[in-house]
Amino acid sequence: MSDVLMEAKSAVQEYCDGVPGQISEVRSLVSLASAKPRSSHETVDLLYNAMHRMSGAALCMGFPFLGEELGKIEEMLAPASAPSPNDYSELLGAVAQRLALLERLKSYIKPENSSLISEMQAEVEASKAETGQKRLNYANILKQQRILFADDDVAIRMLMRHILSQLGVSKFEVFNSGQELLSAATGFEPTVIITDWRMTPVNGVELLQRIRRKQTRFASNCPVIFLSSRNSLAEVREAVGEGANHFIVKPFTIESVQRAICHVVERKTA
Amino acid sequence: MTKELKRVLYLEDEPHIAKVAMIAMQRFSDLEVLHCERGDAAVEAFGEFEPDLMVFDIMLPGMDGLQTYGEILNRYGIDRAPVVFMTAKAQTHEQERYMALGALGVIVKPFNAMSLGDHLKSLWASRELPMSA
Repeated sequence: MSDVLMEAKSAVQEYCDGVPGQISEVRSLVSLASAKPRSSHETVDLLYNAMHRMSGAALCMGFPFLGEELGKIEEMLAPASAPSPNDYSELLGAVAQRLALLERLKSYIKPENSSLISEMQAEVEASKAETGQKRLNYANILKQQRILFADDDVAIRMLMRHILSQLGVSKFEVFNSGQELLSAATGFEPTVIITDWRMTPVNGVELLQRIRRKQTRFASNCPVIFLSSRNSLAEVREAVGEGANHFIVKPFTIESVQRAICHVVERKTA
Repeated sequence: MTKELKRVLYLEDEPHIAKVAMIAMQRFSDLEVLHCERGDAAVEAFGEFEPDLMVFDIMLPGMDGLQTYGEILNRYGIDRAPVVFMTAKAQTHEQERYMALGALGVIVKPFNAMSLGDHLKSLWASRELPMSA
């Protein structure tokens, strides 16, 4: 079984290595087509087929998030929904925008984030009782969480939404600033808050300060997890001083998000 | 007694999907699989390989999965042969049409790699059910 897992990992690795190139290639094709005054029907058809293949591959290789996003582009380009040739420029512009967004998430496309691999791994690990029990505990913890997440980057919001749903978190909402999180999340009692650092209005540290100083309606001891870059040690110290509970280093993985959430919840209830 | 599923002719043009499906069918379920990337190659391979079951992706460049199946029936002068089609989510509304063509089943991508082989085996085993009813 474990050698099959190795084989699958190597297949997924090979796939992951090729994704950035594939996306760049399609982006070049889109920008070439956009530069022409009238793009041909063949180009749109070519793009449609490329998206179909890429979407199918992403889904089968365990990246449902990428597969679904590529699938949306595929739908836009589908023969039934594509506009008349005169309107291709608008369509291609929208496609280029979506592809640009996906290109920024390419660091996420790696074997450790593949659900195909994690499911296979789970099969392997299920035979080991101790690990199986730990996995079950994590799943139970995650199922009970209500999480609020704030980040001003639409791509990161998309990614976190996908990760939280894949982890089986029962309820979560995402926001594009600390301010929005504070004002929009009425009626939602979070068990964990995950926040980016730099956002306006109300950045991550300000958000944390307000929570700890009881200036919000949230419990003042609600665990707060920060997204952090490796090179911002000074900021990390500042947040620790203000009462941050944990850090997730970017680029994050499903595992690092899972570990962080379970860690703060276990510590709170210990 | 029903013969056990052993030989699968698999048609898929996307190399990464093919690799995972091959691992699933060969390593998890011990099936003998011949993989073709193009419909015309599958038509050629059918005669010599004599598969128990064909597993065909639908959307392919050139001859698609349905045309390939039709071409095999024509070329080898047979009425029907066990086939399972693989399709993307977007094409699921076409499932009835595929079944009407005589497919044993339709598998929607993404397939479950751990259970793909078992799924194919149970579809294979179901092929005689309408006749025994």
